[in-house]
Amino acid sequence: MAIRSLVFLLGLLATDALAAEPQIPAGSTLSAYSLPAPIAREAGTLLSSLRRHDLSAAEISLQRLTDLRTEAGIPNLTPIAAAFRDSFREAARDAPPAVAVRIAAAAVSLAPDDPGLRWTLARAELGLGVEGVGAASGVAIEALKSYQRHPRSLAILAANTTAYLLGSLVLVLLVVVLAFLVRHGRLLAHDLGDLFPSAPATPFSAVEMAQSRRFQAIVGSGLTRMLAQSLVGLLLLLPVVLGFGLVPSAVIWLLLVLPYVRRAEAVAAASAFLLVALLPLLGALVLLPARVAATDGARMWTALEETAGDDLLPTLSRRTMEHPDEPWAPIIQARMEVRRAPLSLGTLDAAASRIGPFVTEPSGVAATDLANIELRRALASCRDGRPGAAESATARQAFDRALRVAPGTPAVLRGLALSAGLLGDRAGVDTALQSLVTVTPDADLDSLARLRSLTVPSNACASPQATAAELRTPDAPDWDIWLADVKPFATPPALPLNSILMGRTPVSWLPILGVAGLVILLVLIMAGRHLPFASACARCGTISCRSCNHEASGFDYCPTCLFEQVKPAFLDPLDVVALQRRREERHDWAQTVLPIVSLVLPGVGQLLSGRPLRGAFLLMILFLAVGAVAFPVAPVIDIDAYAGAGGGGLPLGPPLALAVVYLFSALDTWVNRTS
Amino acid sequence: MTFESSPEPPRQAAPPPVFALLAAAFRQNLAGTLSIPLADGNTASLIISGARIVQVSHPTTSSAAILNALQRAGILTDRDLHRIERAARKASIPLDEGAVAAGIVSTGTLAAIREALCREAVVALALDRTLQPAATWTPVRGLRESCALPLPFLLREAQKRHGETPNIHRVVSGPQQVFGRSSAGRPHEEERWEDLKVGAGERQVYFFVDGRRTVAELSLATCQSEFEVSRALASLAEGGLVRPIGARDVPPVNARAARSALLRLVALLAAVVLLVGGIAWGSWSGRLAPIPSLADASTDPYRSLIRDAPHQRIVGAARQFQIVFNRPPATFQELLDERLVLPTDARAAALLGLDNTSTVRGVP
Repeated sequence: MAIRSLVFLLGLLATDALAAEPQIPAGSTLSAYSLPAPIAREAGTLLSSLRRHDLSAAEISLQRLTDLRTEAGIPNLTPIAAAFRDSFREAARDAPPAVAVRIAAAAVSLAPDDPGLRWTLARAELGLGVEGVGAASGVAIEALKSYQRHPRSLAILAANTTAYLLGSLVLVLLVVVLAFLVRHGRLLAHDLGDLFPSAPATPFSAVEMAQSRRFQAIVGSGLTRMLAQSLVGLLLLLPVVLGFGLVPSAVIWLLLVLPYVRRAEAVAAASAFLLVALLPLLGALVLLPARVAATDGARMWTALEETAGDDLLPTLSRRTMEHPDEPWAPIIQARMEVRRAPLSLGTLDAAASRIGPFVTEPSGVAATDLANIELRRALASCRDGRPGAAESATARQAFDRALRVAPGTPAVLRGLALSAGLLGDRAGVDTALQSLVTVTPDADLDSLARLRSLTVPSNACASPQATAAELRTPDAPDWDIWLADVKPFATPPALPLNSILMGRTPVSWLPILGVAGLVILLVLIMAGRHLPFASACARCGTISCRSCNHEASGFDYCPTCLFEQVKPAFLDPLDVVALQRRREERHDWAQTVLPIVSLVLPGVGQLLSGRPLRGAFLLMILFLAVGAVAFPVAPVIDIDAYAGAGGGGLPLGPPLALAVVYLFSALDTWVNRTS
Repeated sequence: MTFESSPEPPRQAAPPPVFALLAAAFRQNLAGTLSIPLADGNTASLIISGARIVQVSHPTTSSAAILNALQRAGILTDRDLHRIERAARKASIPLDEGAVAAGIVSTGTLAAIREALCREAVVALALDRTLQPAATWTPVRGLRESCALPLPFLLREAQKRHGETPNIHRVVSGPQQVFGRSSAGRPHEEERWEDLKVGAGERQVYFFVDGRRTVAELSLATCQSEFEVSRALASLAEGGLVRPIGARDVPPVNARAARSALLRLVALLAAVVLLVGGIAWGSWSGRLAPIPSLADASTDPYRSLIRDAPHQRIVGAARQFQIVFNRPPATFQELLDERLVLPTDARAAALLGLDNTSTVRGVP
């Protein structure tokens, strides 16, 4: 089995070389981002100026891009934001920190929901030194909050983090369980041996020793010991041989040594069972972005929150037919049509007819979008500086309806103010604007002033494009749309290196195994010392169980220690102590081996010496660092918002983590050298 | 002292010969040597000086006997014996002193064990009526004293034992008598070691009483004389802790041990054979663990992530390049120069039609 696995692993390393027909993954075609041409041009200007380290020009471009985004009704220019982050890192290096902060802050408007831009701003704030720490903390919190509005970013972050963590945790699990087997294997062997007919008790006197030294006795006891050890080895190997895979086998091994673990080890064992139960979840997290990427839900979310090309239209049509009750495909299709001809009555009618059936949609997106269309129709009906009364009234009614569906939504209140203005209802304008200020206390005054000026009908009709640009859309239920076609935490079909880790065991069994392990651990903890399992004498290390103790001496005490108490009176007590010390020195290989092991592989020595949590933590950091060195580039890539290969030189984290782990392990070994 | 050699003496009988000579030596302050032919053909000798026995030559007090006692007491191992032999040979000293030279036992222990063995040997000789000792009352000069046993103490101890013997005999019939613990008949009552209200010697004997060992074996195990063991057993029996067991109730130790060892061996062998056979049969019939294959690896979704990452980097990089330069990248090198991809992505770039010689295909 071991040879098979070795051959498999070697083959795995050579898979790419062996692959006769390398394939292009689905969806990997060299196509451009779907961006409106003016935005794409301005983005080019922005990125070029950043490459020239011309931050003044970049700032102007950023402002233009923000205006263009608003006009086009695009919630987030995430691809440009990603490219900005990549270029800004280099450009900001030579810029004064205050300027870098100003540019980074302006860039947030490119994609307000993109956490990456806020992290960039937080880093720029940190460039200010100590005085920037507070602001950086605030921005970091905002960045964390923005993940809930950008499911793709969060999923990719979680996938990449989990990819490293998963490998590390599985390795830690295996090493911890093997260490437990090494520590408690003798106890397990003792109890396993007790299942068979018992051999003569331990010889306690020279006569008995002499009897036990006869040739047959020596051969017999040697053979018995060898067979017992072989039996333990075979039983431990059996789960792997039966095809359970390493992870389920590790659970079985852990269950076998569970009766012997100490308190700290019980905590580690509980963590191990919890990890096993969570492995499918971790696997699902790693695979989630790849599973979601090609789904209609992800493409619809991208279209709603970012941009979409015409290549999406067939998908939207199909989606509308397949899911006639779902509002998102019609809404997206309507938005795309409106974006193409914002004030064309024909287009607006068609868009309104698409959205009409869904106005009761609870998030208020459909109702608001329909109201926005009605307002555009009112703007399109302007004659002699005045909008059509009927169209304006319809728009007003549409916004009132939207407000009932989604009360307090800023996008609805903005539209309500504008529609009230078109009707000449100043009180309605004031009420809507007051409500808007109440729900958006951080709204900038410039924007509100601009909005107020456009509530004058003549102004609105004079610049219908600018008025329409003030319309907003409410936040769609991001996660519901992005995950429309995928159960995010559905059990994945496999774990990494599934044939080795899981064998024939279905991944769906892992939660059952983990929970069963936890229950058994709980029962064992509650039963405590009433169970007749073997234990190692704390004083002399002799392994015995209650029945063996009774068999040997008639008392439930370690027979060796009891024998020490009945030494003949002629013995100097110091000689007995010296004897014990000699015996300990002879058997205490750990004194020599464990420090070396701790220094070679931090964590293993700690595990073997009974400090499992510390050992597991050190091992986890070690494996994470080694994983980061072995795979320096994260495996999951945001193809819709590519931010470069991150080739900014050698990463500092992994070597630093390795150094810290080795240093800590060495210190820990030194501090605990006598324990 | 053994039970065979010291039957209960009749009252008012003449004292045993060795006892009489020792008493005379004490009363008259004699110094000299007692030579005592033993039943097994050996001769024991006691050297008396200043009302003390300063040297005992007896098979039970030899270096070998001392080491044997230390071994029985668990203080020496086979490995230690080799060390002792080397140390004794090196320093040209007796084996027992070699144990001290090797640093395994202290001089205190050696002196104590020697004195204990000598005392037991002398008391046993003093109570034996069958011996015919010969005394040479000439002081021995330049003698190296190996013990210092005061004659009054020895005589009093011999008298005491002589007096105790009838009571002990009522409980302990002889060296082959077997005793068992009374608690063995009450398996539901947990007996606690610390609750035993007996002296150290009796506690030691009680530890070894298991319903199988004879008095003689208990004597060997405890490093006490048979008389001391018998005395302890009598005391324990009086306290209700042990009881004599009839010969028919005692299982034959060797046969039982051999049988249980053989049974264990066979059971283990059967289990191992069963397991190995099962595994071999399962492997042969292909019912056991699946062989990991490269086909598995090619369908591994996690490996697909790593395999597809270069392609995705190329696509993302080409898109970013398009924004910056308003044209698609012409070669992979252009992307590399802009640090948008990794050098290892070249193969993926070639697959997507982008290499150092060709232009991009499929870009609108």
